[in-house]
Amino acid sequence: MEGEYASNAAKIITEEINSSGGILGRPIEIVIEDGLGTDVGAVNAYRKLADDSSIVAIVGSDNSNDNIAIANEAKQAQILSTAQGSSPTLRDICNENPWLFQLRACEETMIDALIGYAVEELGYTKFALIHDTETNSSDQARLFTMALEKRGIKPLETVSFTTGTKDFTSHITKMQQVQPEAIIGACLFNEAAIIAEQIRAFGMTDMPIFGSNAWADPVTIGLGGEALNGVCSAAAWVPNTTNEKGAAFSQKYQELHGHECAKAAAQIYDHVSIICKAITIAGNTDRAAIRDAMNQITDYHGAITIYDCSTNGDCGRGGLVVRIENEVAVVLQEIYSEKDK
Amino acid sequence: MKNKKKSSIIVLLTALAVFALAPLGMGNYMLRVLNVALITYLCVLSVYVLLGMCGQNSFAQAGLWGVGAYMAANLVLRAGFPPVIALLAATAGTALFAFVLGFAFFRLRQYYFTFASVGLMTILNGLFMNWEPVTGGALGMQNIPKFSVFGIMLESEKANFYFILIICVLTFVVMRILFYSSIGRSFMAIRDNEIAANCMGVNSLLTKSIAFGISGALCGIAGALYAFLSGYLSYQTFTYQQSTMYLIMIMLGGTISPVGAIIGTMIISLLQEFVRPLANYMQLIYGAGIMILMVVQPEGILGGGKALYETLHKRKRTGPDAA
Amino acid sequence: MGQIMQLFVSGLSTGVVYGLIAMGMVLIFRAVGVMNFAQGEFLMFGGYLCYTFNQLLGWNIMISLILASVGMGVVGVLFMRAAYWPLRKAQARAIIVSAMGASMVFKEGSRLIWGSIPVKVDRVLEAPVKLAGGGIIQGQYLAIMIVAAILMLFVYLLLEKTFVGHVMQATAQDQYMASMVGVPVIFSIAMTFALSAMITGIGGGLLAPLFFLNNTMGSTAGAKAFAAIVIGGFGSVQGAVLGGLIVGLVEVFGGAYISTTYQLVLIYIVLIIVLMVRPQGIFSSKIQEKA
Repeated sequence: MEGEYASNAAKIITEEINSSGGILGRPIEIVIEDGLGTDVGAVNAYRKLADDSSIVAIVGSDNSNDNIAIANEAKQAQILSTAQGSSPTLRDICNENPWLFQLRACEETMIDALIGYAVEELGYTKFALIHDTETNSSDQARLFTMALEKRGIKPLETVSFTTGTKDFTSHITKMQQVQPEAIIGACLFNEAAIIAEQIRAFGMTDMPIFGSNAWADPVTIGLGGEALNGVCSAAAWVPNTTNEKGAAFSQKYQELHGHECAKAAAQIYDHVSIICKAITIAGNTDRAAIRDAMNQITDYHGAITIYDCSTNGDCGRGGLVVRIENEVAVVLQEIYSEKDK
Repeated sequence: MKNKKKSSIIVLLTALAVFALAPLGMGNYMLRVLNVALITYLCVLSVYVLLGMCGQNSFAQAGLWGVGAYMAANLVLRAGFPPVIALLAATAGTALFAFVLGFAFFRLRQYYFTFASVGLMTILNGLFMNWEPVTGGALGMQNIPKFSVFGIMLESEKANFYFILIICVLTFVVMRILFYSSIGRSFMAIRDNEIAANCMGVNSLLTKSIAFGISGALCGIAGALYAFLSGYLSYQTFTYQQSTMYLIMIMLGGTISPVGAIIGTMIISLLQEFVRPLANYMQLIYGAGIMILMVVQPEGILGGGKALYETLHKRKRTGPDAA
Repeated sequence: MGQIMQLFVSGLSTGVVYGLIAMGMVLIFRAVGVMNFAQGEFLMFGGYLCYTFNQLLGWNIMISLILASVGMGVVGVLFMRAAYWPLRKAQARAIIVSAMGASMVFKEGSRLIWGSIPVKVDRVLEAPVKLAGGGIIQGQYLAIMIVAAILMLFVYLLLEKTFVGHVMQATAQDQYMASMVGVPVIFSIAMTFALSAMITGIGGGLLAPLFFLNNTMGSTAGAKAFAAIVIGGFGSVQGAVLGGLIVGLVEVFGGAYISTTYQLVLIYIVLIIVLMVRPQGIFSSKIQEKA
């Protein structure tokens, strides 16, 4: 599904850059290879691209496991690669890998900001946590727990489930038993919508929910509708972001494709833009030169956030804390933090 | 009989020649595709032993593949064993695991065993994804070193290719020996008519469990090789879909011989890469292709080849008599 | 106590859904002796047809459900013609692999037609209903239970009381003999497939508002229905339904009291135990199966 958004965004950015003269005077072209959803496939797709000498940089997929799988490939192939994941594990991998860049705010910052909002501004102290066991969500759950512990709180109950679970009665029942003030959810679109609906259906219509970034995504809201109202989340991106460039891109995407612009699209837009900036700084298409140029970018204003690529990991410096009101994600705060140098 | 042995030697040598020369002029990308294809071949071979020889359909092979992989990875990363030991131990361990499970599962008639294998696959995948202390959970296991023996590490894709190729050749030969052995004949007796085989003194439960154990060994080798080759293991690789892929590969190639396993594996693995421009429609074409294949030639390519050969042969014989 | 009631109610609700899909699978199994590995895709495709009528064309949900089920009937016949009929004399595994191919075609076809972004459908019954023991059941689940009950009754009456049903049963028991006595075998089998597809398709349309539609949802649904059949017993419709209810309850209670993470694993452990202890399931098979 992310593939659809990604290829749409690729078309938009290609057209934008090429119509304003291209990079170094030449048009850019984006070649897309399908990782087929497995890490074997991801490595194959990556290698095929890396073997092609006309390709100067590779943008990784949205899947965390894929990114870990290609980390070594990037080192071997020696080509600038970017990863879309936000996990701290990925950040650590990137910091040790000269060729791989994490162009996204590490979830740690984002989740910390969200929990900060929940605990310090809203005053909640009793939480229950529900999360998917797949990679991204498990990571997020861990970060939520860490952020709570930083403030001296432990979640009263933690329940997990496998992707594709449709009925959450057991999970919600377990959480209800500890009588939380708020529920934290870390999972993907489909499950987020279902969980929100089922929580409301069980009578907890006013239960505050703090969700991982998928909760605020237009896809989730499209599915869950009013059940999502009141949910707060720390997202890299929402379609009515307060970021100028982002808002412009969001509008353009909506006009061209008829549906709201999701994070998957915005990420591609930013990744490609930053790489193009690096190529411009390098002045040529030598793979190593471009990589070096990347490290020089410390203040790039993208559609999602501001990027600091002086170290490879955790390059996105912020995001947004949002709340869903009337089935639209509304920005409450902008998150921004300087990199610890 | 002699002719058959001769022809399989010819096949083997030709295939070897093709494979040995293949890496010349191939980039890293193609070599990795080939390496993974060869590893997949070992798993498909396990399906051959279980299905083609013994007539039992199992959907748990990708799970056994995972068992071998995680075992090898744990032995090397956590227990510090040298890769050679890890490879052998993973093979033996997976074989034992399958053999013991065989005793539990094969009490069931053929159909039910297949269902139990689906259950096993799901359970194994669930464990791979959630059992953090052993499998690394959702994030998997990283930084598994490449295979090394006597201090020589197989760093390059090419070196790995030759190593894996040798192992594949060895297993092919072993399978041929198995085919002509008495236990191989017991497998086939069970495949053709289990009740009659029992009357002839073949112990169903034990024999089928041995078959499962052998298939486990093959998957175990494949798993260990994969762990060393890719350096990274995650639950997303060892899925039920992968198991169904093995079945499709052997059906495509033909269940009657390990050569069928090679043909089916190579065609599908390489096809996936060569039709990348059509990637969006690939699965659709695949599915339709499989349906057509089953209608046109359920015995697969080998079966079709055999039928063709026999029709030609018949024509030759009746030629002079047609006067 | 209220909690156990809630768990029970939810378990039954999802169980009824699995039972519906399982019922579809059993019909085909009884008719041709082979497991239909594309049954889950019937669910998905039926849901998407309903989506097309209801959301894309804007028609009323009840009409959409009926139209979707008619559509699925056609799909069922086409499926039979393409995936089963040419292979009816071949080995079971050829049919299985063909059905797998068909399920891929369904999945990818759906993705190409409707896209990969999950979508939803209108509900039949909106409001949640409060029960005496303290549990809450969503209105839609109630609708599903009612429809499932009607369908089960319908299938039972059809198979046991009508001529057409007897013809279908005869074909299921022995195709050769049935053709000997003048039964139009292909017609009878086509009817069975159509019926199976229709039932499962309606299930898809009813589930869609609750669980949303995406093109990969067929596999988990099929897997659970499959577990339901094995546990409940192959040969009978009652077995399938009972199996479905058991799977639903195991899932919910296992999740609440043992582990939510391993819910699916639990179901399969139960499946394996049942296979060990009583392989023919709770209601034993009345029909001989293909060896």
